[in-house]
Amino acid sequence: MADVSEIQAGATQKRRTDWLFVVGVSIVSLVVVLAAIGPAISPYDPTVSTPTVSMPPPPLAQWPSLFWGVLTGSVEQTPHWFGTDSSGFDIFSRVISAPRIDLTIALAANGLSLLLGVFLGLIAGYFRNIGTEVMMRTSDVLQSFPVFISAMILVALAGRSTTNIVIALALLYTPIYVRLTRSEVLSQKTRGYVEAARALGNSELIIALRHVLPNSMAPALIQSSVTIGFAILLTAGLSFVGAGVRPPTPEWGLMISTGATQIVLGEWWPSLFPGIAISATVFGFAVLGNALERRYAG
Amino acid sequence: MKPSLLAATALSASLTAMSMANAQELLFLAEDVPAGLNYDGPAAAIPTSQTGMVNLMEPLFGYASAGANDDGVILPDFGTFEGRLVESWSYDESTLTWTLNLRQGVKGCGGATFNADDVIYTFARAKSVSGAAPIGWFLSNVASIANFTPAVFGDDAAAKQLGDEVKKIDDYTVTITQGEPNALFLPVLTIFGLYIFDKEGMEAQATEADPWSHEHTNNVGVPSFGPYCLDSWTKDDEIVFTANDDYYGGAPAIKKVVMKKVPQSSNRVVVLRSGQAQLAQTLTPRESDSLRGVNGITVAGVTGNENTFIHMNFSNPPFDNVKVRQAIAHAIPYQQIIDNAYFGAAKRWNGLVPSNYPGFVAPDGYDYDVDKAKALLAEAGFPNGEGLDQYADAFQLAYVAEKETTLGPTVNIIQTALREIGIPASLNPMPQTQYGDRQLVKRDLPFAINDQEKPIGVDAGYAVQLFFVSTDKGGLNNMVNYSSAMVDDTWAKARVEPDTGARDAMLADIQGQLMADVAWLPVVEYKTQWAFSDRLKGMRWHPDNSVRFHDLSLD
Repeated sequence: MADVSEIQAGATQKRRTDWLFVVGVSIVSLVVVLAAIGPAISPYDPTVSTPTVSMPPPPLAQWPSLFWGVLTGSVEQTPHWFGTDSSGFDIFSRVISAPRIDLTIALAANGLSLLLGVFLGLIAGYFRNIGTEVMMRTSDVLQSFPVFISAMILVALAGRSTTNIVIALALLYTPIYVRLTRSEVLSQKTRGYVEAARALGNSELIIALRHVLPNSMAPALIQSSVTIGFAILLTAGLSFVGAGVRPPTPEWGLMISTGATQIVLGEWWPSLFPGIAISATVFGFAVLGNALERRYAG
Repeated sequence: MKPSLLAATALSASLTAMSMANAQELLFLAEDVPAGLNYDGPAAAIPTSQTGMVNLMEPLFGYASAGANDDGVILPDFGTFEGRLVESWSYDESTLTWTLNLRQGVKGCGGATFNADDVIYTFARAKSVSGAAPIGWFLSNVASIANFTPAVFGDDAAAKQLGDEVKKIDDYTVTITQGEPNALFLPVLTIFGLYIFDKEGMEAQATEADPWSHEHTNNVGVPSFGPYCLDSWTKDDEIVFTANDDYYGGAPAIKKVVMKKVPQSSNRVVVLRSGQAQLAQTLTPRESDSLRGVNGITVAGVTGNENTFIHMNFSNPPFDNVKVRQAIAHAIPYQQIIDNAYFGAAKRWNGLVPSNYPGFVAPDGYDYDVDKAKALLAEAGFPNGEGLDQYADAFQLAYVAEKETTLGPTVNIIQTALREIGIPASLNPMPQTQYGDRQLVKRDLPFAINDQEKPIGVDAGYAVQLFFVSTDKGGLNNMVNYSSAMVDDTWAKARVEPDTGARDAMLADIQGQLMADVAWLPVVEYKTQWAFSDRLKGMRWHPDNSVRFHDLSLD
């Protein structure tokens, strides 16, 4: 009986994992699609202000008729589905255009840190010497600072631009990959296939690059899904405190920042919709990473 | 930190403990508290510091009242001067000498009695140029007080010593001699940068290293003869004023004022609405608009001297091309900015001097006309904006990032409008300190929007001297590197012209030239507004835009 219940529990867990995987993949796919075509399909130019400022979204009850009106062309002007902000920007257009900048920054930063981190982690794990110890302690020091504060300082020093945000995030996320890869390399280098490769006369560098590296990348790759989500969150956070992208770039954090001061006036919509978008995206990347971990790292 | 309802709630709760039990106590919410009380010190340009100075100190002259505007705010009559610490005065044209008969029986907070020595001390301190920002010297120079020349910045120690240009005749008579006739004399003496110190109190704080007590006035207090005394002062938090019941103008009705720093304007709104505070300033136009009609709260304001303009630097191409500047002037949708960014609390600025100042004229300006803008751009050699991409960096419209809530809608409208005629405009928010440094010190900002320059001296000539005269001719705040021989020469004549009509005619010519050159691109004059409890009475506007608590009372 115990075996049956264990099997049932395992099946339930697997179903839940698969369900989360589907949710994660769906959200991430949607974000990727919006990053590709969002600005092209947005009803208004996301960086051009309209004469209508601080307009609330239409009541939900009107949405079907308005939508039908848009489809049939019977409405003169496309509705502002999510309302407009204090500058007259169409919030819906900006929400669906924002993934392009957010995802670009997150992917670029994550890609850079992944490349750098895995390479350094391989060296640190495979060739242990004073130099690699110094590298690891430096990595520890970098990780001891709060990520957000460090990112703010780096962007403030380098200047407020997309490139500098990417570099700052890449620098801050690199130690994560260094540590993950290093620990995996330490485990892999004691395996038999390494001994075998060495016995066949391969140089240590060839063994590290051709045999150990491919077998040590899984944790880093799984981690990257989570890191992308947090990079989006960090990008938004930097914009929220005025250290991120420049206005009027459509970016979720910037939109929340601009809208937050209007909440006290009863204008909830400029910050709510980008808030939901960013929460859903980070959730999507997190559950996808979790599901991948269960599938491939467990 | 960004605002949040949580922060506002916490702030509101903390202020509950401070809520004013006494009917004549005022809780005043501002974006900051004074960073210094020394008008020759580093904090002199900060409006909240000026608020501290004008309530603790007293001028020689002020303006009479001219009645209230539609909002109930009492306005000054710029044509009628009133003596404050001066009781009566006369002017001898032949010797360019003003004789000031000082008020007797004026008591300061420290118990000292005002007399001529305090006036002498004040001008001697100004001429010493010993502070970080020699505002007192600058104003004396603008008023053409004799020997207040740039020589004070040289190595000659004697040039920094006060001579007979400001002379004590007896304990209550002083003469001040000008180097040349200059109509700015009386207007300048109303400005906070020449308010009078209590000599005894100041000298008690002097040290060998700091004989003019800058350290004390920067950080501790300022002995003077104003309507309020300093009770306590914690920078970045709050300052408490108590009434000077011996004030010569009558004991203040409000006995205690707590000026509290609440950086986020939205939080000031929350606390004001809760009824715990009685006065809030520098709210955004949207917030002020939202408070109209709220029970128990009054929003009042005045189109005084605050304005928004676009600054195009003459040293940076393509802004050295007048056709480009004029094209931009025709491309701005002024009414849209008034309606959508200022919610009607602004009007089109049709000049380069505040429109209620003596000497203002409204030269032919630039209406919103996209076709004309495109035609001018083509005449400038950039049809439909072709060829302007090489100047993309110059077209980054700089503004103060901390003012995003206020200026954001305006800059977005401008960016959209400029793109419509093919100008590759982008936005460049930057911290206040960086903006100020680049604008006023380095003078290298190519393109910017500015809503914080106001000529405190109430005269068109003062504005011309401050902003538009060539820098080598004394244009202290000529941030766009504008230089016109016509403006420089005409101002040199107008400055010493004793006949008001002739002087005004010259000032009109100058303003016409400035507008034709688009020296600045004036956008709007916006209202200086306050939101306050409807129990608060007596709100009055002063050209420095600081509230005088002595004007106020609580029902």
